[in-house]
Amino acid sequence: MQIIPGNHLHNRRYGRQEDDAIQAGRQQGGGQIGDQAVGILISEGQMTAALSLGMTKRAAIKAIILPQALRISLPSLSNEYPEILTDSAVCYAIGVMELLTRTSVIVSQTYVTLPIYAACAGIFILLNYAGMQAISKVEKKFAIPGFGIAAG
Amino acid sequence: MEMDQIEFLAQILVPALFQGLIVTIKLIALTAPFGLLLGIGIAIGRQYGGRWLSAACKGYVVFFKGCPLLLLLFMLYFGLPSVGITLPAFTASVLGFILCNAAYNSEYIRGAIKSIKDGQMTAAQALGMTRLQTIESIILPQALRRAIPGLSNEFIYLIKYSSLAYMITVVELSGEAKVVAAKYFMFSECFLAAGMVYLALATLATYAIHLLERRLAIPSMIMKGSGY
Amino acid sequence: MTSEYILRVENLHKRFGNREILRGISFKVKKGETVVFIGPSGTGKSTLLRCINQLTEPDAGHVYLDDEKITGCGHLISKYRQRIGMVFQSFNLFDHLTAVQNVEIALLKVKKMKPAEARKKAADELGRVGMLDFSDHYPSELSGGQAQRVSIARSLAMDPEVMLFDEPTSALDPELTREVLEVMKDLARSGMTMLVVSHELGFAQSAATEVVFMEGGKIIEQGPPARIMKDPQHPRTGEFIGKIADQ
Repeated sequence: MQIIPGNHLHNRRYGRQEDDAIQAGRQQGGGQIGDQAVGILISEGQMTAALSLGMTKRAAIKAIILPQALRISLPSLSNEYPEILTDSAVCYAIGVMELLTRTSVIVSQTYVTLPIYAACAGIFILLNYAGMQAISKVEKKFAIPGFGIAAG
Repeated sequence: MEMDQIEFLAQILVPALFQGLIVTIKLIALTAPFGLLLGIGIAIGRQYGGRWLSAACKGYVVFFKGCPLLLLLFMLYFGLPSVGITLPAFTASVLGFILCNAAYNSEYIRGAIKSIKDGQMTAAQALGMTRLQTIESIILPQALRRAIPGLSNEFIYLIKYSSLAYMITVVELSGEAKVVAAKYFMFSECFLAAGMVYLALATLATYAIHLLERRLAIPSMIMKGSGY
Repeated sequence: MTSEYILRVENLHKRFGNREILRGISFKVKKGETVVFIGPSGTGKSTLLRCINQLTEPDAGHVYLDDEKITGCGHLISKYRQRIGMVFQSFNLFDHLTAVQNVEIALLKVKKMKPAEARKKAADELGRVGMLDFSDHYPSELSGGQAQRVSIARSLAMDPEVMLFDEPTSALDPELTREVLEVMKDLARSGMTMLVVSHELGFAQSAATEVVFMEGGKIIEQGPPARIMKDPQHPRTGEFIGKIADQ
């Protein structure tokens, strides 16, 4: 994680580059990378302030850094939800009797293909959508004002 | 039939895996560019389009993110013939991959577009540029750079889920491994070998993208995710 | 066809939500004049500038550029915007382009100049604001004052008839403010028609041909700088000038 030198020449009000980076980092479904960026971007001044108040590093991380990092990175982590849900369908390949397997059985028995597949897709999409809405609500509830949760 | 492990590897497994690798690379090479282009189009349509275009793009994303890729492949390969469209397995695979890849790509690109300061669009318009010109020469060059970490993530996923093509009869890398494994009862060895090839592919891709990111980097932009 | 007034603003109204920001602004500007708008923050001065080049669409009222109506003209506004330059408080330089590329991009894309021609014009404009040596620097490598000067060059390259400045120095440290104001003074002296929203009373005093005091979305008082500063007619004008002159 590098911050290219030269940014310090910028007047504070120009760019708000940290915010941009945070937002971009959050949007990355690869939660890890976004989290790294977020963690480093929020910790510098916050850690200094915490230490100067007399907290140990460990206490500072527990009480100041982690809560912020987790709440800021929630959106990017939540991007993983659809991936996890749709990955479950791959279990078909090893014979797990989940939704897709059941669907395939029905299709092979009735020879009606598209409508049944479509219905199966509909179920997955609904589960996905409902899940994302729920996560969205949780995100909004835990959002830290000022870090501009750009609504999806 | 007694066969030495090394012999087995050299004479049977490696050639088979190599055949499969070629198919896998073809799948990826055809999917990646179109998945990227379509993803850019969807992101722009959703962010800058009017009511209907924006809603249509959102619908696209909801559908193709919500629908499991495997199910999509089944629909394209097993389902479409019932409405008169019969696609060869390879085509169906590439099509399914492109549709899915584009949906996820568009989310990363859209996030990147939103992270660009409004002032950029404002300044461009003040100079007399049209929206389209601004998107093309000001927004996209910056957004795509910011989206590289996410897009590369998706590319790695693509390398891995290309193996699903086997489920609709395309004999790619993992397909070849399974065939050999089943024939000679050497499951662990074959799958391990295939796994190592995927790992190599992913590592190579990650490194190549890192080099690309370096090359495209502009001093003004904070490099994200370059914790190497 | 040149009219007497290069810019005419008639009865502009703009509300955001249920707050009326502009309540019937009207004024006329002649070619070569430098008009400085002063007033408390949030009184619609920036909104006024943005309504002139339609970055914000007014709810009512009209704007005429050289007697051509530019309000409500749909996508033709891009053509008019080429003739109106705008400099922003936050510079808004294009981050992915060097200084000279920033200046030439509109020439290439909007005026469809040839690359060599555009590059030469861009270099000339950068030289005019004293930033030629920084041609290949990216915005993040420039100080605020340097960035703002590049931003001015970028707008000037389009050869506009009117230049709008929206608090150009408000985001700058005092020592950087001076270099930008110098460029603006030179510009005024060379005959450019300028509309400036600023708190820099010194600039208003020395470079303005007209000072307009706005408050609550209305023009309270306007006149030559000498009169407004020393002998304002309206009590609110005097109060305001007293307040910021003290700083």
